[in-house]
Amino acid sequence: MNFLTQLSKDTLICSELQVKDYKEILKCTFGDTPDKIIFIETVCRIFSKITNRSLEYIKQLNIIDFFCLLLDIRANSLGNCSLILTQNEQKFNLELDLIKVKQETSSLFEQLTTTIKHSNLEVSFECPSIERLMQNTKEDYLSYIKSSCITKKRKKCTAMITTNEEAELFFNALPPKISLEIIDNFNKFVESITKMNYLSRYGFYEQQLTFLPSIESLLWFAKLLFNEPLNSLYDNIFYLSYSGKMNAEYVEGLSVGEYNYFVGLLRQVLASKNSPGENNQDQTFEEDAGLFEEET
Amino acid sequence: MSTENKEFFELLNSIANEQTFKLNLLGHEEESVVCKQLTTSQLKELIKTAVDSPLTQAAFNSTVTKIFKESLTENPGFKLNIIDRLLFILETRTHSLSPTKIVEVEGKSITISFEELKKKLKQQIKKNNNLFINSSVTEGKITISFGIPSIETEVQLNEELYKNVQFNLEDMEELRKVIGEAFINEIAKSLNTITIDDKILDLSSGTFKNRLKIVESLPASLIQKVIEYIESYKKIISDCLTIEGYTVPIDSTLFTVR
Repeated sequence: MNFLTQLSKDTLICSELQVKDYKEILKCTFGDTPDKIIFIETVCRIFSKITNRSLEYIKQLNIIDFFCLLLDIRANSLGNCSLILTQNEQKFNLELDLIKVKQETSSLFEQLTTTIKHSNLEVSFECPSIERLMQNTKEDYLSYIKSSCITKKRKKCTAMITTNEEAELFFNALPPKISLEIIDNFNKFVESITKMNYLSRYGFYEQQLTFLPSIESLLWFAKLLFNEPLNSLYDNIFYLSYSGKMNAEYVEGLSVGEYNYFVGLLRQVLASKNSPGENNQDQTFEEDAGLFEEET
Repeated sequence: MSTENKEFFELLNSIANEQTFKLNLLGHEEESVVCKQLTTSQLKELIKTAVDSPLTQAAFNSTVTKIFKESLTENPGFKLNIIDRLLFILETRTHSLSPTKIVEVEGKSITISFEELKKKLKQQIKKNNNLFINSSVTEGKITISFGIPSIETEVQLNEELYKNVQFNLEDMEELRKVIGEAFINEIAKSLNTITIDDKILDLSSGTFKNRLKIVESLPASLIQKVIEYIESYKKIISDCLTIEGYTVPIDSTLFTVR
């Protein structure tokens, strides 16, 4: 079933995440140091497919919208996210409400979107796009300069700043009063985003769960949100084919929700076959990897 | 870069050229020049000089001189000196950043008003006008003329002697040497011409090293007059820059906002 996702400036109709795309997300986030470029390219391609928007559109989404889209896709495919937290040497299971996480994050967008006006010059300051974050920059605030407009003799001249290199040229030519205001806005944004802790609403203050507008943070959250071990996914596809007699290609085309349903169903069937008195050749499957979702 | 953005950048630069301020140069009989406001790139250059040697301030002086020249909308037609540059520094600080700055000195908060500093400087320069115009002194056949050092002479000094030189100010021997050299350099900077009989030697025509050789061969009594002159005008400037016992440093810290 399709679902709607509300972004800062747009509403997108998204299709559900398919198992083959889910597998790609698990693959590109696999390991201790996944490659940032591969991660972004893979996720952008999947988002483009799910939203039916061009790859260019996806790469130009600001990172907060991108993160919100990731949260919505996870929430609509797999539901909320389970976390195990430790406080006062005790372990707690926490179900992180991803919709609340999205709401908190979205509210930040308004804080960091601003227009700096000085005389006849205006500078639009906005959270950077994925594309800009992937570019090298000497200073982080340069990627926040989105566009500028000069009004001269009642005529408006606008420039869209698409690269950090252009932003640096532009920044260097600005009067210091404006450039210092850009830095001030950036510092205020950093301060407000680092103060935000998604765990504080659950009474956890010692542990921090904060999203920062960087590719590294996005990757870290992608690993947290899509944390099923890759081998478990492969095993489940195998068992659904082998024991469930389902075509592997068909399984990969299922939505993640449907896949989980069939995995659950197969688990029940295997469990009943393994119950006392039943003699079944598949009885050892329960002890193997897969069919059992591992908690992290 | 797209054509639209090229046009935009040209427009931005043209606006920067239009945002100017008038700078009254008091040492030149009320002459004035028009200066463009500081750009962020120039501000960055100034802040980078924070690692400058506190004794020579060569990097800051060279950078601010370069920016002063870039800021002028047209050639003034006369030699600019280090007092003109000081006035430019205070004026551009006011126009480009803010007219005041708060500093913490030994737990006390002092507000520096650049308008007040300029006002004091104007009054004192007018009052002691003779110190800010060229003077001469004669002993026997030798006449030397001196005045406020021109920015060109100072650039020459920085380029020839201080550029790419790192001083170890922890080493007392080296510190003594640097202070001694800086003292001689100050004298050499202030000299304009040496006249012996009818022959005039314009010191600006040679290298700074040559200038130093000539200074070293001048009679001590003549040099003493130059030292007294330097001390007098520097004291006036220093007094003008002092607020509540705190002397405002004319260096990169003036352009930092925090």
